[in-house]
Amino acid sequence: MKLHWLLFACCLGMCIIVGILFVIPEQPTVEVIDPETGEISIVHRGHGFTHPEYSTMSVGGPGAERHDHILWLGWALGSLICIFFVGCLAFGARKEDKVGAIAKPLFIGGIAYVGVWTMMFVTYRNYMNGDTEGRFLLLPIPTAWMIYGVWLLPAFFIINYIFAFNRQFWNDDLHKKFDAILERSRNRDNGDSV
Amino acid sequence: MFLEEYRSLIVFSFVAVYMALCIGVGIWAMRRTKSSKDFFMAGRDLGVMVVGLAVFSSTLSGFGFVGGPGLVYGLGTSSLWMIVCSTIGFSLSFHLLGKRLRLFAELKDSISLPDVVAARYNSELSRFLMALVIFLGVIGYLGAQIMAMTVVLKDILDSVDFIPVISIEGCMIISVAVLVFYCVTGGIVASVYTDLVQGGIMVIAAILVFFSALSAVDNGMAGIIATTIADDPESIAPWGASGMLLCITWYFVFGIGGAGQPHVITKMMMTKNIHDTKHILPVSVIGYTISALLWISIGYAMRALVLQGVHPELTSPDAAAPQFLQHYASPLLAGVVFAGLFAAIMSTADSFLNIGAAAVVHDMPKAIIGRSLNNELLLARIATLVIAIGAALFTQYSPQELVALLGTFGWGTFAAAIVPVVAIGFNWKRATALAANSAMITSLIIIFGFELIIKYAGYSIPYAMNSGALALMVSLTVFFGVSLASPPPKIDEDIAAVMDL
Repeated sequence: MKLHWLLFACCLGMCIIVGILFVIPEQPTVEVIDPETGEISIVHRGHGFTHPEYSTMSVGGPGAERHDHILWLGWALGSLICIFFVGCLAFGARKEDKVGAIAKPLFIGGIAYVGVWTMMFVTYRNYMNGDTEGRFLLLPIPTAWMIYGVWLLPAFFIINYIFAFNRQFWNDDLHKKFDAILERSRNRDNGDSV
Repeated sequence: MFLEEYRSLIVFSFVAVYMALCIGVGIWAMRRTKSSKDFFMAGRDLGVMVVGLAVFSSTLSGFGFVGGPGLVYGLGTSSLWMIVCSTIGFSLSFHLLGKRLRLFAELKDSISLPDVVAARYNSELSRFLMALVIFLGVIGYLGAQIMAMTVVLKDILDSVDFIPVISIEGCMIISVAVLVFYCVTGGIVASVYTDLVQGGIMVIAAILVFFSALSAVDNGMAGIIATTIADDPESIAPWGASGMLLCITWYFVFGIGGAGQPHVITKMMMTKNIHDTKHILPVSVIGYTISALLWISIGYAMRALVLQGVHPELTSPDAAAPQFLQHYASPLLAGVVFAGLFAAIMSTADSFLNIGAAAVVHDMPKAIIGRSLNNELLLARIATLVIAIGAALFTQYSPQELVALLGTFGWGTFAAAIVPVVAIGFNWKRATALAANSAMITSLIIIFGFELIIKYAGYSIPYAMNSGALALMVSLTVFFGVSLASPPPKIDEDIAAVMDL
């Protein structure tokens, strides 16, 4: 499959998932009665609510109630984002429409990236159902996957970029080719102006 | 403690020294600025550390000092997604644009982003739309930065006994005067070298603040986590208080959105040597990651201190950083951080001023009348002055609804309008001008549309998903779809040849 079709498919997939999420009702909801008018309104608490004691803070409340019905849709959306990101890295690395030697490390990094993303969800599912004791390097387990995994794993792509730079992105041969293109362009412009 | 008596004076001194430094840099940079190419592109002669620090400090802005800690205090882990995406985000920007932008800029002797867009798509409409997106964003964003500088300066000046009370308008005049002076005299050269100073201050301040924050709470990080979990386990879980879908949409828009921020990616057009790019990327990432420690540590420390009853509840989340600096940081550290805050706000403001001036003086005339204006350097300096004053007056005297509407024209709108056209389109020969124009128009309609129906129809996006992220998903889909549905475009042969490198 050509890379642009993969990226297009990811974007379409993201739009479809978001479209589905627009029609799945947010949970939990509470009924709030206006003390003055007596009007009842429905308030969604799926994206947090004001702390009962400190009005400048928000809290999430029970994780299972607000995420259980959409957890795997969230996983799917995030996985598509991860694939899209890695696909874009490959897109930027192409020469003459070929990804080249960097394809394998990007593919391996991409698998690891989605794997880390998945582990964050798997461990969060346990956490939201009450298993909040576990720690890894001081952090709750799902948060540890987020900080040490999702945040730090892409350092692999940075290291790959540095070491593959001369082979894949820019070197003296490409510089000479660019200089030739530049000279041709300037000569053409000068010829046009004459 | 001896220094405590002079806290306000110490903070004021650090800020005054920084502003004097900006003026000095402006005078120095003026000698290096001889043409509009120098004014907008620094002569394409910048080294690794300058570009590396400029890229990350332009990205962070004052948000990293005030808004960021406030969000962590208020929402817990939710806001960390804006940081967690940074490693992949900078990687994306450099993979997609580190080489391409620099090559296109040199090939076509471009001095602005709309210049390279016009060259890529062979379309003056694309140039105009890009310039329009940038100009609208500049007015909104710049206004917010000027207001932030003004408010912070007033707080600092009001707390110093020997300085008479200066009105908010007076503080705005002082802030804008310093900003305009070094931007008008030194252009982008002054901007990137003040970014260099800002980046250095931010890294040093972040390390010092991180350790201060951990020592302010009993048992340090373990104490912060235990307190937070006991109160609300979700606020230290991956999704924080705001929930999963807002966080995932933030991850998307702040991840790839960096490749669409004009004030950041134009720095990639200014490198001396493309080989430097492989060093600039790690410099930017490391600088940003260290600076993020400030954001995370202050926010969580203040949340824990309030939950423990050690500190009274804050009047607003944005008070997290100022309150921390006032009560838990030494006066010297507070001085460094406030100087860093000013530096952060000014570095973003000066980048916007520069690209806004380019849009008005260089890009729109070229799009409309087909050529550059005479005396472009002089006009650029005048435009810088007019835009700064205009943005300040607009923020101060316009209806707040209009200010707020343009204020939303932030990261998300730039991302949605620019990522498909530039980050994707510069790497894909199949991308068409029609697709680029469609993506830009789609993004503007979606972002402004959402804001209007939220404000006037009482609508709210389900799960509080970020509107910029949704606009970006749609604009990318439109971009790919329209390109694939259109006949293959005819590309300038030199551009096509460079795209194969």
